[in-house]
Amino acid sequence: MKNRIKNIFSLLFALMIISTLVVGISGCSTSEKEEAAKPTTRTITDRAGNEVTLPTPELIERAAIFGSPSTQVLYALGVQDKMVATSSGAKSSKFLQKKDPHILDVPDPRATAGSINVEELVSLDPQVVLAGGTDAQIVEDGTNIPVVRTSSGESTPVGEYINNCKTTVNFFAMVFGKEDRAQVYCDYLDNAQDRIQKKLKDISEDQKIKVFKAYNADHLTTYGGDTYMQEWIEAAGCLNAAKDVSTIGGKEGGLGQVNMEQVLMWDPDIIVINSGQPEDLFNDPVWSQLDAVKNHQVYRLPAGIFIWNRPTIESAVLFPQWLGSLAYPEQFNDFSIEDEVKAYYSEVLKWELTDEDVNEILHPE
Amino acid sequence: MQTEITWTRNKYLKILFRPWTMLIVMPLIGILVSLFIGRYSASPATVVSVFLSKLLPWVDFGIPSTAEVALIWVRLPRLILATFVGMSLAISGASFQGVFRNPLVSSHILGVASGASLGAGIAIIMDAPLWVIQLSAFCSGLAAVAAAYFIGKIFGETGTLTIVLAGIIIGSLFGAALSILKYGADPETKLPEITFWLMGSLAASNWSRVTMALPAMVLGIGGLLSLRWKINVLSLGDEEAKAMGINTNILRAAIIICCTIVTAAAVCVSGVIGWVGLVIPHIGRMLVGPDHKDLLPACLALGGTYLLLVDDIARTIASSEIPIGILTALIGTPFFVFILKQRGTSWS
Repeated sequence: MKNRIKNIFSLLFALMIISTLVVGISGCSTSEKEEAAKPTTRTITDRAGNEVTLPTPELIERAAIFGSPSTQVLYALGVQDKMVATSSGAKSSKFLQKKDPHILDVPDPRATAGSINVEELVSLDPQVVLAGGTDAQIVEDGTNIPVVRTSSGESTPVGEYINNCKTTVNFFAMVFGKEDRAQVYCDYLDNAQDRIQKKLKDISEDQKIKVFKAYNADHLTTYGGDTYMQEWIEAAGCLNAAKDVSTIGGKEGGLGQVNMEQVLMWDPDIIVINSGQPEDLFNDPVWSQLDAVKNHQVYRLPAGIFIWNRPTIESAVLFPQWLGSLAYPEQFNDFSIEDEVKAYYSEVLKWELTDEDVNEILHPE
Repeated sequence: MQTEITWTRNKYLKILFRPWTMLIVMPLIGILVSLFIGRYSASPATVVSVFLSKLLPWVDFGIPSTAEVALIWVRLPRLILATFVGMSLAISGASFQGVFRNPLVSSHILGVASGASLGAGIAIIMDAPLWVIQLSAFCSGLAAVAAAYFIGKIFGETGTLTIVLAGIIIGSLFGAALSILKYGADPETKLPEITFWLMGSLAASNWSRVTMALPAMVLGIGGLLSLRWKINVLSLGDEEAKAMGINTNILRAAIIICCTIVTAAAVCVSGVIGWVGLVIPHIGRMLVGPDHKDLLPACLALGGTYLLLVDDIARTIASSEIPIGILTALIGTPFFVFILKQRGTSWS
């Protein structure tokens, strides 16, 4: 009895080995044939200088990204359908939910920088992960998915953020083989910058408008001179009231808190808020002392695919034009920000926006 | 009996003369000095003439209206708020230390700070206006302490230790809920806002905040001052207090309610400012001794002045604000180590 069972097992085992071999050999031979015709993988150098082997562009169908700015790049390249993971921030964008409801079905395995649910990420079976910093390290250590680093790891100096947008788009385009779409974005950005510069060429330093970014519910949190926002405001031909503020986090994420006395000292010409509505300031006894409030130069920050207070590719194009047209209406008299928003979405994202869409972007809530 | 009361009165008049003078003089001097310090550069002459112009409205001093706004509408309410927040945290810390007979408890021991933080966090996530954030913080702070108190009650009559334990439990629970909130919060917009709130700041002070918080603070401080003799009795322990014919449960509840009202009012206008309610009572005890009838006024004076001065640093040293909660911790912790080393005075 025992022997018979043993025999049956041996037989099964032998069958298993044979079948594996057969399948294996046939599998090998077919892929060899394909490889001769066309390679399935290639090796690239990512932005941190590492060599990564990943599927060729036309074979990438499932890519995982973690950040809201990267999500936008995928939309600009028209490869958003290949996105199997995105950020919770991107999913919370009301405008994006409306224009592409599919975004709500895309999982967000990264909760915050450095905190990734690796098991969920693996279950999504991405062919490539595009990430930076700690996130990239976590995925690399915990899985065998190819990790492409999308940032050099060094912080971008102020003055290089707009160029960095082009570098980022070009890099993503190289991974996805969408160089033509990247070119559209880069040309669009260059044109937008030329346009502003032409309009503002006669504005001298002492004519420049002073802008204060008054964030949070108390309107007393701002981006200082060591952040990307300095560059965004300068690109609009304006001055950042909070240029001397050095922010705690520093660089792009850094916000600094200031007090009302300081704001009264600055006495900005334009105030940009991201919480509440301008009317709140018009009726406030202290804020209404400021020239900006007296002249009703208080504006709510627009929010497209993402709110324009991040160094995203959308805000790099649109924020300087939006702010510039508010600060210098005379120079921008032949310009309509509504048309510009429509044009950007039409040319870069290939989305045709309605007037209602544009209104939602420019006047959130 | 009659003689005993007279005796107490005389002693009170003699000894208390000192803390009461401190109570009035120190914060007043502090506010007067601080009026001349700030980011809005106004010459001492301007400062004086702005306030003279308020006293003598018929004289024209020719002051720019911005200077008036900066001093009367921005700086003055902030100084008042800083003083009262400091007073509230210090007096509630001292009272709690007496009631719970424990030198290591502070104003936040029963979970009021965690409760208020959660309330503020929820309101921030909901994109609520400022006054809703404050109200939500205040109510949630009260709710946390109420929860701690009743959990303490469930465990029995023995009182103090179980209430402190329940406070720690509730504090952790609300802290965990806040962590969930922060974890899910939008890292680009909402998370920084919550973080700033948690670090504590008086940057957004104005008269409407003063009128919102001051009544609650004055009420609670008044209540604690009127109960300050009885805290002495409680600090002897329940048995002895009961032997003296005092209903310890009602008394303790009354003191906890007063402390909670003042702390919640302080937290809802200033965020979480630690190390005031713990350190100031110890300094007070070094100066006037452990008797609560002297200690509480002394704590008011010290706490108010201390926070006023620390806030002067926070608001003037750089063009961006330094979160005051960070400063009080930086100053408070080494100081506390120093006090512990000097420890000679008894706390009960």
